[in-house]
Amino acid sequence: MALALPVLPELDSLEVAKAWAGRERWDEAAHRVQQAMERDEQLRRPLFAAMLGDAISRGQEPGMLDAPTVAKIALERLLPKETASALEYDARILFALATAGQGVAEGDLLEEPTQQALLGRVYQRRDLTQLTDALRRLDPHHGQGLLVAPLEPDYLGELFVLRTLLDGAGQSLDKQVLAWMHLAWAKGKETSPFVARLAGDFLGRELQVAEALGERVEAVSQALAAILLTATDEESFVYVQPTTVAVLVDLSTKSSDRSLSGQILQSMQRLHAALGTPESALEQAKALYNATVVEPEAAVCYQWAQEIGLLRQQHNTAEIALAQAQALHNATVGEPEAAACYQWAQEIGLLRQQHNTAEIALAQARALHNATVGEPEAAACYQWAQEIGLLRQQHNTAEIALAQAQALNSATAGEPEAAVCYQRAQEIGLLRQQHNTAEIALEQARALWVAGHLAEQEGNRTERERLHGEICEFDRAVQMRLDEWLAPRGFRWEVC
Amino acid sequence: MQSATFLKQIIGAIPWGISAGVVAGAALLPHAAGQAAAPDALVAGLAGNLIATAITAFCNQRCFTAEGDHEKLLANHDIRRIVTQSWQHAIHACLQTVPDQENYPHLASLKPDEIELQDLSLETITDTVAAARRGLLAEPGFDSTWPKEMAAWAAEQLQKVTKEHVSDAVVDHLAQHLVSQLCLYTAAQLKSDELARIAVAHFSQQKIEDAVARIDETITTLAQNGLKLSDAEFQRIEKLFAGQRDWFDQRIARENAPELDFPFADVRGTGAEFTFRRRKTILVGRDEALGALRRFLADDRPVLWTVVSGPAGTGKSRLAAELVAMVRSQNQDKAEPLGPLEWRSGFVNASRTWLEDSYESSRWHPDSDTLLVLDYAGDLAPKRLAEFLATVNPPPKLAGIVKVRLLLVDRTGPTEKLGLVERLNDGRCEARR
Repeated sequence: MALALPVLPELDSLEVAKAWAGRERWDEAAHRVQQAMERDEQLRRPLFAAMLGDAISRGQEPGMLDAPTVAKIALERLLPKETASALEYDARILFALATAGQGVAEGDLLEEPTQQALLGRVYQRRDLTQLTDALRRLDPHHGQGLLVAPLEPDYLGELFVLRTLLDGAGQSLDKQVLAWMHLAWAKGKETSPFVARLAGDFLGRELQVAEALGERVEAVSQALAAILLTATDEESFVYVQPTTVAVLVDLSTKSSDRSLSGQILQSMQRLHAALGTPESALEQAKALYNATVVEPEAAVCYQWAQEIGLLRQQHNTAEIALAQAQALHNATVGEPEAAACYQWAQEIGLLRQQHNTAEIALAQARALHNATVGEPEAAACYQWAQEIGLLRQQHNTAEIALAQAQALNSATAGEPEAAVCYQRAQEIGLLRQQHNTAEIALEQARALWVAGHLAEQEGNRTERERLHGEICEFDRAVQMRLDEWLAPRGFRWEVC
Repeated sequence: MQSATFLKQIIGAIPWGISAGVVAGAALLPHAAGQAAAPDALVAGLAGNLIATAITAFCNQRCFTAEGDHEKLLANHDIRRIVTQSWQHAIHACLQTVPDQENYPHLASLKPDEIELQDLSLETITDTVAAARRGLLAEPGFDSTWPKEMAAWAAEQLQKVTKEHVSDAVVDHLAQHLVSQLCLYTAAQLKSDELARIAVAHFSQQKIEDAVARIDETITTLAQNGLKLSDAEFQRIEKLFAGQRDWFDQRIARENAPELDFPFADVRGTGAEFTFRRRKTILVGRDEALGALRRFLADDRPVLWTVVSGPAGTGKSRLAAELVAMVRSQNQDKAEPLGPLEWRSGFVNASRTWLEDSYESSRWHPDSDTLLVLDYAGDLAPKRLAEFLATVNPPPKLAGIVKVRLLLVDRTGPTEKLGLVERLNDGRCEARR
């Protein structure tokens, strides 16, 4: 069981908004809120419904009624810019740093170099006490530990940090972000996840965020890019969690700034050039691999796989080899030409000669299976399925067995003879004897169905009935999935 | 040798062989009972453990026999000085050698040259012992070169543990306190340890199991031959030790347990207005999800984990918090420790280092039904998380009785690319999902 929480049903999300708004103001706003929720599903998440209701309760019905706008209004209510004194404003800047760091020690926030870097001045004695008090008034968990806690919920905190950075930047946004984020990386408890969440929430929504904050979209994009890129610079890299860069590369493809993904990869290259360590090489390799996951162009994926190969020339580790193997496999996903796929599978084989791990073998098996998808010749497909079988002799895992079953199934696609198809289905059955998974069972059921279909075309209805009888012995779930597979092809399978 | 030097720095100044029990004793099990003087790291280590245990038991019996004795013993500054110096050396060595001191906050804040016995809290001792062990484990070549050197050294230390030392030790109340705390760790090592695995690599499993079976016999031999106690003294020790074993076990389990936050805790400050912790937003539209989580709790299988996922603001943490609150309300106001069929529940937020540091979390064996919520689970190192999910278990005697439920909260759907299931990719932990 895993629980993926959906947005609330419309009536429930309206109820949340109404509870925050209060009955008095709700009646006149209800219709508009309902329309907005129909337009933007994000507003049906409980947090945004609550912030929307809160805005209405204060007579501040949001103009745009989208998620960033209601969050900005909530932020304005909690931390209004206009009414803050200079000292309160400075406390908020420190609080924003605590938010970016997901908790920063109070002592670290108030030390003189930090004050100088963020506030442009250093508070002394009585003023410092007042600044400390102002900071503590903001801290949601004050008195429960040494850290100043971040502004919660995360979304609001992320918007707060972005607003703070854009407010204070003037002409030198990149410089400001760099100085600021270096402090966050160095002093924050968990800056990595903050940066990853910021990317997840705001990339691709730069226009909405810019409109909500009253900023230019270019400025928002620039600030986001600058924040994310600090994860790959030399000074911060030591604090970055291993998966963060990979996550950022993945998320950066959503950005309205099409160059962001490339910028992160380039930044990783610079980082590796500066550090030249196996760790930085591995990070770069992972970033390149991750870029191939979302890249539809096979040729681009292959190019990135080759770049990983260059890294491997310097640091020939099993992990970097795995990244290269997986990148090559990803290249086969978008490649229609069977010959190219097969060649790349062979390249993975070369990697496996040096690092014969089950993971690399799996990448090769999957690449071989992908080669069979575009291959019209049944004999070639069958040969490649056998090559996967050779891999399985060394790494007999369920995943590789599945790739072999899929390849055997591909071999039935161009096969004119029912008997041969049945033989392939039996070979899949042998795999099932070792790895009895639902996926492999489905492959066998498909192969049996194709064999039955050919038998019917050959005029052998008895054989078709016998084969269908074999399919009837599969689990209901497998039969239902067989039906799902057949439906778009114009056939049906009645579950036995 | 670097490793032996480090070890001696840590424990060399402690005269009783007790720290040899704590650190060297990590090797923990003898391959033959009753060979206290044999130059063998395992025997020496166990001897250290057992002597420490014996001394504690002995102290318990003797220390507080008369109020006057107690006062007199407190005045024994010489023993105090020795013990103080021992700890100064140990702390100094840890501060110089152990790389990840941020994981030992109580240790990192100490100034070794200024430390006095009264400054040593349980937390300080805990951190120092844990850091010393961490430093030792990180030593290159530890598993191959260290045992021989250590064996000779530990044997030498054991020779110093004479009746006089014991008699002196008995008279100091503060020293007794330290010893009892150290014994918790030595007893922990008798159960399971990274070093136990090293021991397994050096000796056959059967030999080690035989040795475990003969622990009592070994104590007897040590007590009679090593400490030269009288029969009456020995019988008292034996009785006390037997009575303390369960207590040790329980204490160890709790020492390694995570601190659990109640998510609806008091939050103030401007920055808290919209946090789920305030429980200000009405909970609607989540009956189905709560029902699924209740079934997750009620499932018959002993150890299970699952993922609650959803994008920002969908109420993942709130839902998990409601489940924790529901579970806590079943216990009403029952104070800890809780037993089987009583649920302990909470968020592992503030003490995530507990999970990231395999030393403690891998030794935790919950002795009551337990619901742990790991918020931001996707931010944890996947390898460590997978290992934890695959190996967390109640203690053997409660297997099949105590339930453990781990609720992972993450933004990304578990089977999406970069989702938890994809990242964990560990068949052993997957089997419990």
